[in-house]
Amino acid sequence: MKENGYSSWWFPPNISANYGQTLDQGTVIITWVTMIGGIVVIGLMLFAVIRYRYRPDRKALYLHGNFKFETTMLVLVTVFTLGGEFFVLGEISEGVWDKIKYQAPEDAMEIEVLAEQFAWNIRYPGDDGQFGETDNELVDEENPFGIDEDDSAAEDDVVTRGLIHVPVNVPVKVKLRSKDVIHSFFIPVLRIKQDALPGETIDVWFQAKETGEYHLVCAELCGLGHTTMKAGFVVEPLEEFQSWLEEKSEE
Amino acid sequence: MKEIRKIMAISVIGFFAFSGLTSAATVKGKVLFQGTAPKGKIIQMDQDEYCLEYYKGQDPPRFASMVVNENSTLQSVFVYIGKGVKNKIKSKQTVTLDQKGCAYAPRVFGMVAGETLIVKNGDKTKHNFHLLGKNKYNRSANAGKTIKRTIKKAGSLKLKKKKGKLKSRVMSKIKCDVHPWMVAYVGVMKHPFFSVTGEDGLFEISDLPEGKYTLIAWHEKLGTQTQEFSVGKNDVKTIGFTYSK
Repeated sequence: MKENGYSSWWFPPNISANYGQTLDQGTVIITWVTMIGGIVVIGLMLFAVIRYRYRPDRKALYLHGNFKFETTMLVLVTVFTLGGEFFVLGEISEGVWDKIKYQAPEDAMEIEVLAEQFAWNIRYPGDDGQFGETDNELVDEENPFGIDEDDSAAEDDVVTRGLIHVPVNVPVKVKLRSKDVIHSFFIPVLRIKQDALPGETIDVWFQAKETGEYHLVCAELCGLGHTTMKAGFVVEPLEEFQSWLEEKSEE
Repeated sequence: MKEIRKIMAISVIGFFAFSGLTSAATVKGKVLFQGTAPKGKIIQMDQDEYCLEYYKGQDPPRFASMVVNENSTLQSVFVYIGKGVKNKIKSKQTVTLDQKGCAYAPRVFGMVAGETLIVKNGDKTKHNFHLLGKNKYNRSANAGKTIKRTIKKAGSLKLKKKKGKLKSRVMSKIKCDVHPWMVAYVGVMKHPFFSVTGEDGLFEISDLPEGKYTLIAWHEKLGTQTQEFSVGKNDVKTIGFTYSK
C-alpha cells in the first residue's frame, strides 16, 4: 500500500479533523521556542569563547559574587519557568488532553481493534451496530476475537485483519484491546497514539478529513515481529466505505 | 569381564532373535466425513504485501483447517498408535517443513523424537517459526533462511479440554507470529507408527509387531477418536474412522 502525501523531511501529512491540528501546533511552538532559546544560549557561549579568548597582554580578572543580582536572577528564572509550565499544562495542554481522551462524539462509529503479536485485528459491528459476544475459549487463528457465532448480534460482525477502512469526516471511536502484551495503536497521519494493554479496553477516537491510503503501526516494542506489525489505513467516502464493508461481510 | 561378555552375547542373540521374529503387520483404512463441509474463511493477508502479491490473480487463499476431499474423506487427519508399542524406536532422519505462499506445507505431519526438523523459508518475507508445547522453540527467519532443530521430546503438554475440541497428547502447534493465520501441527512420537491422510483420505501404518494396540485419529477441529485392535504376524487390518459435523 502506497502512502499518500508524505514529505521526505517534514511532518507526515495531518488529516485529523480536530485535535491533530492542535498537537501539531504544539509541536511547532515547542520546536521554535527551543530552537530560538538554543541559538541564543549557544550564540552567547560562542561569542564569549571567541571574544574573551587568551591574549598575551590580557590579565585574568577576579570578581566577587553579587548576592543581590544572583538572587534576583534565580527567582526570576524559577518564576518564569514554573509559571510557563503551569500555564502551558493547565491552560493549553489540559484542554487538548480532555478533548482527546474524554470528548468522543456520541454519534461516533464504533469499531473494535485487537492487537496481537504481530497483527491488528479489526471488528465492525455490522448493520445492527452491536458487537457480538466473545469468549476467550473460542479464540484461534480463524477467529481472533473469539466471536460466539450463536449470539445473534455476532451474525453481521465483520472482522478484518491488517486493514482498516473508515469513512471520511465521520468520527470513529476505537475500542482498543490487546491479546498478549502491550502494543501501541499509532496512526501517524492522525497524530494518534495510544497504548493497548492486555485485559483493558481503552477508548480512542479520531476523525479524518481527507481521503487516502495510510498506515496504522505498532509504536511499542512488542517482540520479534514488531517492525512488521502494521495495517493499512484507508480513508474513503462513505458510500465506498459501505460497499467495502458489504463486500467484506460476504466473505 | 565375564559379566560384560555374557550381557553382550545375550543382547546379540536377543537382537537376532527379535529381528527374526519381527512381524510386519499393517493397519490401514479411511477417514470418512459425514455432513456438509464448511467452506474455510478467506485469509486476509493485507498486512504483508508479499503474501498479497503471491496470490494475485488466483482465488483468494482460505483457511485449511477442515478440508474434505471429493470422495467425502477427511484430509490432514493424524492417525497414530497410542498404546501397545513396547520399544522406543529411535530415528535420525530429517523432516522438512516448508513455508511457501505464507502457508505451511505440510499442515499436519509427524516425526519421531530425536529427528531433526528443517524449516525452509521459500518466501521473500520474514517468518518466525514458533513451536509450542514440550519442545518450545521460537526463532525468526528472513527470506531464504533455513532453521534446523532437533526435536527431542515426544508428546505435547497435557492440555485441558477446550470447548468442543479434544486436544491430543502428542500434537504440538506450530505458528508464525508475523502471519497469525499460518498454523501447522506436528505429532512428536516415540515410534514411527503414524500416518497422515492426504487427498484420498487413506492412512496406512506398516511394519507393526504383533500385538494389541489402540489406534487414535486426531483432527484439529473435530478432535480425537480411538479404536482398539490386535494384529497377528503379517496381518493386514482395515479400520475406518468417521467424523461428522
